[in-house]
Amino acid sequence: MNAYFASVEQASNPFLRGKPIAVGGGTGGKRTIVAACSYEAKARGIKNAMTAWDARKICPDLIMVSGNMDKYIYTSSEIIKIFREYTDRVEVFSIDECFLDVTDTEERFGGAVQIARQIKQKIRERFHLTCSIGISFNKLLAKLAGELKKPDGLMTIRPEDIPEKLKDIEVSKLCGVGRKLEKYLGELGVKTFGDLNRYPREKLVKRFGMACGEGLYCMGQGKDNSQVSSNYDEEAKSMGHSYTLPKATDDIDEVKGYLLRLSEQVGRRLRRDHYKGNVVHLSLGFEDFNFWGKQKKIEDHLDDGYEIYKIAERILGAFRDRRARFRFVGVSVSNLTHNLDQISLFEKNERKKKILKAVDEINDRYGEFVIERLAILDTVLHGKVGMVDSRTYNVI
Amino acid sequence: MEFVCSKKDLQSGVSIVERIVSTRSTLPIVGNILFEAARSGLKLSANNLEVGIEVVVPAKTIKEGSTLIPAKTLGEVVNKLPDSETTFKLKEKGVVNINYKKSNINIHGLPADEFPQLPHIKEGKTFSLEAKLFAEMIEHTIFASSNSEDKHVLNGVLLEVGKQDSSNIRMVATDGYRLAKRAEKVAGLEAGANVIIPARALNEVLRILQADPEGQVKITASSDRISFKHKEVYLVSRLIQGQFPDYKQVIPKSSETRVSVDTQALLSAAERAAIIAAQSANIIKLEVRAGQLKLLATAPDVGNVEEVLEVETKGKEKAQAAFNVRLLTDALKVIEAEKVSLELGETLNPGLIRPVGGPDYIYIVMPIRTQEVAA
Repeated sequence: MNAYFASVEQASNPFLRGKPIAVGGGTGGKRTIVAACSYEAKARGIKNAMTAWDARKICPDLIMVSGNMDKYIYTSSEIIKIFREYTDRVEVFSIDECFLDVTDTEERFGGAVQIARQIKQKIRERFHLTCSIGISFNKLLAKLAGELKKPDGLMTIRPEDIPEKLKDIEVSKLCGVGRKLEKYLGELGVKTFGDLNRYPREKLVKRFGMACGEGLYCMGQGKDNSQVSSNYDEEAKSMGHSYTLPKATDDIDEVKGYLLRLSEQVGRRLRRDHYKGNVVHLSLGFEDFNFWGKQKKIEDHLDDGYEIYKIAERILGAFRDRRARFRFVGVSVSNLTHNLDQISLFEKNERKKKILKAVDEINDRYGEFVIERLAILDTVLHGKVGMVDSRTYNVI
Repeated sequence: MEFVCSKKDLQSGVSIVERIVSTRSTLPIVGNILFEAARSGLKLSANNLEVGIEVVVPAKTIKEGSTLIPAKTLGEVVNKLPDSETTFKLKEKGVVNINYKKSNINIHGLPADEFPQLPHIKEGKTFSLEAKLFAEMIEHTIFASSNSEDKHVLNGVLLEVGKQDSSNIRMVATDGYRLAKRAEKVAGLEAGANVIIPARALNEVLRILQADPEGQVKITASSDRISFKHKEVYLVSRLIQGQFPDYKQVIPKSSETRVSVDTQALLSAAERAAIIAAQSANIIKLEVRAGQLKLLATAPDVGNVEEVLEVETKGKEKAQAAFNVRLLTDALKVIEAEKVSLELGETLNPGLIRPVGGPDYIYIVMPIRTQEVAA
């Protein structure tokens, strides 16, 4: 997808179209970071991961939009449904990237290019979004082809295009070559795909070791044997949420506040997807970048946020360092069972399930955490959903 | 302190008390066993502050006295002693000399006076039961109690003494998903107890009674403690304070479908089904239809099982419900009767198991709401 978060925002709000916008975790505080920006903003020099403060200095009319992760995830899942009309082999690579293996199905639809055109059209019609599609005979080159024409590109790389057509492409465009690797390759004089293609295998292995060197050599030859692994339907192994505190604290009660809120979020997600789990994991991060984590297995499978919190709080009780300054809190639930509801003997417990269901229904309809525990009101996380402020959307 | 004791007597005494010794307590002294040599014999005691046990074993006391010996070391030593007379002698600086045949071991002991005394209940109700019967009542109920720290009152077994229906003593345990209740009519039993006994203490009582099921066990209960005296063994435990759930409310008054089935056949079938069900959250489906009881389990990656049993059906001829198979086998394992009555109602109503022809035992298990059932 092209400038995905920003494009989704522009698609859902006509007033933002054609304007430089940036999506972040707020609407302009000093700490806000640009998570994504529109092509209009990119043209003005805005880059991802800039602070909102710096971005505004370059582009004073930049519109900061508070990100809405739920919306992006939802849109992604709807787009993936379109892909699945063409093949069952869909590998979700990130929130806005997928691999499709159409080897067995392309004939039916008139070839891979035809499929790509249809997908682009459907996404444009339904979501007002553009995407770039790369077609090739392996994942490495398909991804490269997708990177080469942006926005709204469609490109095919054929075996005979190697190396001639690709020789001037920078190595950093290749999937798997990050900034560090780019630097090391640069030191060897390898700056383009053509350079890498000609570079002797032995020298790569000598410089980068067997695994990495061999990998780079294959990359240079345009080879990639990895399969498109359909991970779309895979069952969840665990569910968790974490939060990095705006400021380190030594106040254990403050940490508990975050923990309660995160546990409620985990519970909500478990219930939404009909999971329950009986292993609760707590992780803590500290100012000095150390981490501490512990898990506890319990008798019952849980999906009630408060019950999850109670276990997490007990684990927290085992953390003894009273001088610690907390910077990060995370809670997750694993050993999940799907669609399983052991009915309780006692009406009280069944009533609790009904209350949770009612709360979920209200929150489904009127917005996340419209109803929440009073204890959460005291925490910084109050009113927040995922990375953003809930009150900026879901308004009826 | 000095006494002579056979390895056999020593070992049986130590094995009774050592199980409750807590080696990870904040009070390290409870990691010891108290030895008290008197004219009447040798008394061994352990106390983890929740439960205390003492037992008197035959020994020839040469010199009266007492000492504490670390339970872990002592237990290992006693197990490995040769089959002979052993002499224990307290020497200077708290060293305990253990002498057998021509060899000896010295262990560092501690002075006995720091050991927390085992409480003896002064004011309480006392009654006696046949050891064999009490063991059976514990065995029928204890497995249904909960291990979860959150469900404090359910970590024990309710003991009620007093008339209700045709019984005058009852034991009940539940973990919130299943409930086991055993009732009995015992001649000469007077009313007046309603206590929750920690399952951990009852487990020890059960072990002691099963090792020697003859005779009577004397039970004394106060508002916060309960003690059990069986021959030479005395066990005292704290009670769980709190309100046990009203179990009478959850016992179904009637069932729509009742099937009578061979206990062992049902247990074997359930255990086979459990092998498959283990890979799918232990869920099995029970289906009653046309004089047959079917046990079904499916695990996507493993396979499936269909167990069919011929049964006698009373009431509505068709019924089905899904259960956690472990909850079913737990009860079937402790029922001695040849046949059980399995009773089912609507899909989401509780299932019921009771032995045909007595004793007065009822086991209730709640079903699982599966996606299939919900649809």
